[in-house]
Amino acid sequence: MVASYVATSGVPVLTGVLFIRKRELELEIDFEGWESKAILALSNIPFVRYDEYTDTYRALPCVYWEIRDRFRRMGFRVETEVNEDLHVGDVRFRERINLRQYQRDVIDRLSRKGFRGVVVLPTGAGKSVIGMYAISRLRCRTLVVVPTIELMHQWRWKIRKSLGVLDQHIGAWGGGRRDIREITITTYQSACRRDFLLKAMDMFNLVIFDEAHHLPAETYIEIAKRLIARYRIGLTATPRRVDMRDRLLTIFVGDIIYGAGMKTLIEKGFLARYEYEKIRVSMTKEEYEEYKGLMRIYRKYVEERFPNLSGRAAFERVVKMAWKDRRAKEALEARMKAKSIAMAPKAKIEKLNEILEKHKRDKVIIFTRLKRTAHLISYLFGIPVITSDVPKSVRRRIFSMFERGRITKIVSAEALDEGVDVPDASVGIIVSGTSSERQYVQRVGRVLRPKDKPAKIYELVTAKSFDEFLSKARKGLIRRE
Amino acid sequence: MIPLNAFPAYMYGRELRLKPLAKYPRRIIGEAIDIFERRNRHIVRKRDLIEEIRRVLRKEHDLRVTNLLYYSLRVFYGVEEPKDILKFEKKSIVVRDEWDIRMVFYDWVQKNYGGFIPIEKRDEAIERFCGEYGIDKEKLDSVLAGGILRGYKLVRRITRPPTPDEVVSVSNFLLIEKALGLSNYATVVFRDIDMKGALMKDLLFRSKRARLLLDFKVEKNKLVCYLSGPFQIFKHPSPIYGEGIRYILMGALCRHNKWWLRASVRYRKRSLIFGVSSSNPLLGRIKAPWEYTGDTYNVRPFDSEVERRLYYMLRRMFPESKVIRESDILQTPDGTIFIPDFTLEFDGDKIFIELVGFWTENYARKKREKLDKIYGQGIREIVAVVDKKLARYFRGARFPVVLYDREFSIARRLREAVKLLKG
Repeated sequence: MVASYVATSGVPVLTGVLFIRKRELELEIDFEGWESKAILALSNIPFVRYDEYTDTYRALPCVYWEIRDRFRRMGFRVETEVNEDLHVGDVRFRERINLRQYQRDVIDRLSRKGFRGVVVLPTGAGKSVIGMYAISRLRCRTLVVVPTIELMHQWRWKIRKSLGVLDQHIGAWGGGRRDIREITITTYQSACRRDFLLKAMDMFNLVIFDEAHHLPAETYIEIAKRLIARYRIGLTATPRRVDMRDRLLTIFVGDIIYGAGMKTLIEKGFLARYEYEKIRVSMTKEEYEEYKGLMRIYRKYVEERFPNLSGRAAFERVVKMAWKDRRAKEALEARMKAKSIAMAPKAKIEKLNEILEKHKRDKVIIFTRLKRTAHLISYLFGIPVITSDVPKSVRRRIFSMFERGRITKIVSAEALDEGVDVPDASVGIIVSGTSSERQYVQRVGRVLRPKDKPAKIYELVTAKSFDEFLSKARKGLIRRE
Repeated sequence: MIPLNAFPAYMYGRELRLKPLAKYPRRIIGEAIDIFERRNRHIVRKRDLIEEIRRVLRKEHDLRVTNLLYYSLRVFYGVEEPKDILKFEKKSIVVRDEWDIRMVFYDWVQKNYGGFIPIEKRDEAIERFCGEYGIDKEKLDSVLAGGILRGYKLVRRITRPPTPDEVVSVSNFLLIEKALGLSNYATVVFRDIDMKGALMKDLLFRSKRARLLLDFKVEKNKLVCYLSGPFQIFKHPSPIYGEGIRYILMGALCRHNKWWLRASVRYRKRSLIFGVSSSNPLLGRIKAPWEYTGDTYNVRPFDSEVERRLYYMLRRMFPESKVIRESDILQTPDGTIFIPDFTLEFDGDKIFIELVGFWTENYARKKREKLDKIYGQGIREIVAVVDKKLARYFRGARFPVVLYDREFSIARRLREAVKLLKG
């Protein structure tokens, strides 16, 4: 027991000792000294709980600094097993980053919030530049978490190029590599694994979550919980999630910091102006009959089995039943088939033909919802296709040809929606998509890099089908902007 | 191992019960076999086959049974990627796969039509391209449609069509294998066995490999085996050991006629008991798929990540050969026994690949001595894949040594070494 004693002439009052130990992916907290004060303090800190088996407190690593600082302020001496030496050591940065005004504003706001926050900027507005600037300014061990291996390579290249950090200081965890260095890049998939978190828990003081809207997923949020990093920056264009878990971003990363909106950036010339045209097409009579017939099968099943449910709730129940109920499976298949008819009727293909004719000289990206539609367009028009089943080497070939202008049209089914650095295009044609605002914003962002003439976005919507509903739903964010 | 959507199981109290295919009339299984027979050596799609089987099992609402029947039949019927690599007759362009053809076509479309072919000119464009490059029009069309019409060629693996009984026996194997794959503890009793020692040795070897705990109790005519994982690591029972348990037991169950099995299984977040014996009229008869596929039972977990990577690298690099793990026991005239990690089989020629990972210096030294001895005794077709940190122990070796580091980019050197030995 450490006796509490009163300070004389400015010497801090030592009220006790706090012990912090690492226990697997948690922290074990014990203390000696002023018990009631310590218990009160711990009960006011989130993610700390009393463990009756060990008669100690357990805390998530993400509140490590809060616990340590609070007890220090209370006059406790802190004895910790946690590694606090999180400086980058002899890593040299060559700062070459020129920030735009709105990026500087974001950095100022971030620094006022202790470099904790989720930065929201449109696609193509330079979010990763902000991350890069934070690395060079804070100069502490950094973890960058990205959604795809493709982005891992891009971050590595950017860090090397913009910050001048030598390769030997950049580590990677994922995609066959497993080394942690001063600046480490990993994917969400690899970072949420236990073996990584055990190693990385007290290795980083700054963590950057690229495309941070992925983080609130049930397994990925563990990354934010199990790291002690004091500084946390999320980067995204679309923080909102359908499952409402985006509030976890505020809890585990920081407040949402809205940077300049799309409108402002377009006005200032940082993003290209764009013209949007929605083209409504109709199904042929036969297509419409088939569509209606198939939807009738689905609706009939729902009405019979789940008379009290409708819309998404009914759909989810049908999906649940599909593995054991033959009729549910048939209903689901009918709905899927109806959907594919509505998403790519003949009229859309004809309209696409017209639009392509109009933009013969421009670089065009065509977006579809289904892989099948993308392959069909590729087949009919002789346009290179990029879907998840196209090998990476072929994708790279197509991108580099597109960048150099050796091909000017690409068709893609969701593979280019995010997580890939797509060469610039001036026309985007959305043949079909989901109801996701996020997908829509990312797709629009693909054609918004500054250029001489305004970008053009076409959206093809099938009338009298749920394609119309999807189109309305996905444009919420843009409308608000 | 079959996926969960092909595992027709249900909970009965605290028991896990299965719906074996033996429950259905053999006539129905026969009809399903006919479907596969009709499609033999044709391009098929998995979805279409399952759809047809579903029609055969029209009274069964549980679609997992349909899937089980599909996977059981797939044991007898392999698939081949339709390999019909085209050539440009009039141009000297190297074509490795269909993507090369597509890229040439896209390039041509850009030059001649500005990036896309208007629908009304499509036929004319295709004809022009085929004429210029010397390629068959229909074949080009099928390459361009690859993404829409992708399918596989179904090829029967055995000389005659399988019988319904064989299909049922294989499906029983798949079911029990899956159930064990979800287990964390198992007890097996083997009765009336002739070579207890051999069985014990096999089980011990496998349990050591799978890092599971194995206890034996030998009674008169009985061998009782208790299998479990080191529970203390996990707070709750975990199915993580299932992979190992099925690897240890399935081979032994197939080889013996009288056995009784009981396992604790995690299914749908519950701990259940699964029991079956060889006398069970529906599930008791099992036949191993490898008897038909010709594969070795390669579900054994890899010793290390490096071993896993090397295995898949070898399979990719030498598709014309058969990559077998620890298949051969090599014995030299002086009695030294050596089991190489991998054997590459090229039409009768064998090349043995031994992986020497980072371990202790003593291990590396002994390994080198052993490889030298075996080489000296006349077994020359050895390639050692050695961790760079152990390079000094393998200096001056007479057999090819391929060093690897963290990056594991050894493909080129490995290919050279194998080429050298193949002569």
